Amino acid sequence: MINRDAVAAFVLFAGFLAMGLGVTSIELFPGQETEVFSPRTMPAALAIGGAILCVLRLVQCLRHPEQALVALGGFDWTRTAMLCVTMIGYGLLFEPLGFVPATAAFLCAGFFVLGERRILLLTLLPVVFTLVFWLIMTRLLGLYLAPGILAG
Amino acid sequence: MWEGIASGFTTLLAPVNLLLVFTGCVAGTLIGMLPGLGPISAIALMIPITYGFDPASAMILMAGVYYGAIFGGSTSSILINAPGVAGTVATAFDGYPMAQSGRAGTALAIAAIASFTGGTIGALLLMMAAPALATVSLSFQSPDYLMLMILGLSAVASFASKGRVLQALIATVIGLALSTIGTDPSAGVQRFTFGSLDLVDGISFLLLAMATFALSEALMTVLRRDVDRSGAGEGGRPALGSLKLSREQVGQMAPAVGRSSVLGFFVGVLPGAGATIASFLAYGMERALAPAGEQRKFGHGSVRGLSAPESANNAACTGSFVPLLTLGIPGSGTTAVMLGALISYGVQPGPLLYQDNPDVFWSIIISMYFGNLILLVLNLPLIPYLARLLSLPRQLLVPFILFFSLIGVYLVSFNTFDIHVMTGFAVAAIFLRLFQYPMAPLILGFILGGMIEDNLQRTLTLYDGSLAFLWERPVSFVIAILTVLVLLTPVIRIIRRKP
Repeated sequence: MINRDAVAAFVLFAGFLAMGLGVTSIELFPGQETEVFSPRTMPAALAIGGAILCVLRLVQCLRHPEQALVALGGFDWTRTAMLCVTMIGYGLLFEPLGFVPATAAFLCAGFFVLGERRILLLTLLPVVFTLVFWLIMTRLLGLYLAPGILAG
Repeated sequence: MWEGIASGFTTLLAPVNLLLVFTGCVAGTLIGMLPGLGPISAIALMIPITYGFDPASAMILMAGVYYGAIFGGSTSSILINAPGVAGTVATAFDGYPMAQSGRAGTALAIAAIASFTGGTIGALLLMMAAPALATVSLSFQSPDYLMLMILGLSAVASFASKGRVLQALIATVIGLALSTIGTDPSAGVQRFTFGSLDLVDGISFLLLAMATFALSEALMTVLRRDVDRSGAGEGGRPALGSLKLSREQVGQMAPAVGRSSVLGFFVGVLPGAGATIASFLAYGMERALAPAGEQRKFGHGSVRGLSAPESANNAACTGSFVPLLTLGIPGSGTTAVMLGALISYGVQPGPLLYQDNPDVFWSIIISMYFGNLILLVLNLPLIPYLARLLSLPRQLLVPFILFFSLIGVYLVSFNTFDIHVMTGFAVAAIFLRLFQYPMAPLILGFILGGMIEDNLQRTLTLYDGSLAFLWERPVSFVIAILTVLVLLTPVIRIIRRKP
């Protein structure tokens, strides 16, 4: 049986290993290699330290499999993933559509994903809230929010 | 001094100035509640409004906004686990679990009272010892700062609950590693940017805090199928919890607030150290001092765990005015904006401010105290209304939390790339949390990472790679001893418990 905690520790170990490899590609100015402290010093120290800690964690997980605390069953992965997709979509549509349509659509989609089915709430609340927020931010506080299609 | 205090009170008690401090507190609280618009943004927004005011009135308004924004940040930390500013991250550790367990009102009341007390003690210390402390703060050098940051990092020990020491340490290193992304501050070399211009400036604190705290928490409630929040009472209304604190709670709060306020003020006096380190140090200190039974409550709604960082945070904010008013050196981003504002009003902060503009000097100090008082009077009655936010059904509350977190970060960078990065970090945070890796050490490592690297570089260059500063500089030596003591406290406790 796979020890999930050990897998997580191994993934993090791989991450620190990749960071260590990435350190070698940090450019240095001539002469910096011999300096006491260079732009590579801190990342290198952290990559080594992190990798050592992950190995220790890996050993801990393998020596005490009974302490594996993670149970990944019973979670609502679908809705969580859909919310993440909604956030990505919000980021993609924000500039082209503009703040007001993108935010109203984002809130509406969020409500829908989480099970809200009342049409009035799904449509009116996001639009009214977004317009009020937009007015406060742009007119009262003078902050910029991408106008998008509303700019004409 | 007494004449100055009397003159400060006379200026402040003018009806216009009273109205200004009140308006500032209200505006600051509302602005501070929105992630992304912390004290810096709130004060910057006020500068154009105050151009026509006399300097004393303008600074009175600013002080109100400043404290209001800090309290507003604490409110969003407690209610929705969204610390909009670094100084309120530690507030969320116990404030949010308290709100989730149906004690949102109690948590907000503790935060308001702790903030008020911290600000009051800070203002008293500021009145008494500002000039002397300014000289002391200047004597701190890079090695001392480095040791102070490492002492701050030792607060990680507070988050390493039983059997999770390695996870806490790994999370700290991940936070430190994330702080190295972007342009290296000393040489200007790009690190881990993968050729992306969006990463040249690195990852912002706000982005990481919102992703790992607010976004990941909101998504976790969906993931865990939390149908009803545990804070909801009968009829779907939130169980607000009493606003009245019990004698036991006051007894727990009082010593924690006293200690943390003094600690916070002195840390705040040091330029660059600020409210964040003060709040983490206070949290770590209180946990270390707490008896074993109370220690277990930390992270699960401890009264001491909430009141300590809140009071330290506010006291540190007051302390940060010491170098500003007496030396003209801004010790934090917020005081830097205030310095700019003061100069634009024709007032030059520094050693001569006390002589040339005593009305401004004392008005600022008195208005700080008064701002705290107004905040307490204003916020206690508002708490039931603020806590009602939690009564929103989950299907509405979660998308709003996601929206406020995303837009808060966007309003700082105006770059939609950050929205994608935030989503990525939120997903990573969910996995880390599922595997019992705590988020607090990660954010602590991230906050301190840049400062540690900066001071480590200067120190090693200054001492030619030697660690001699540890015993050659008395301040560094004392802080190093303190750090060792903090780290050894759990070990000593374990040894003492064994027969």
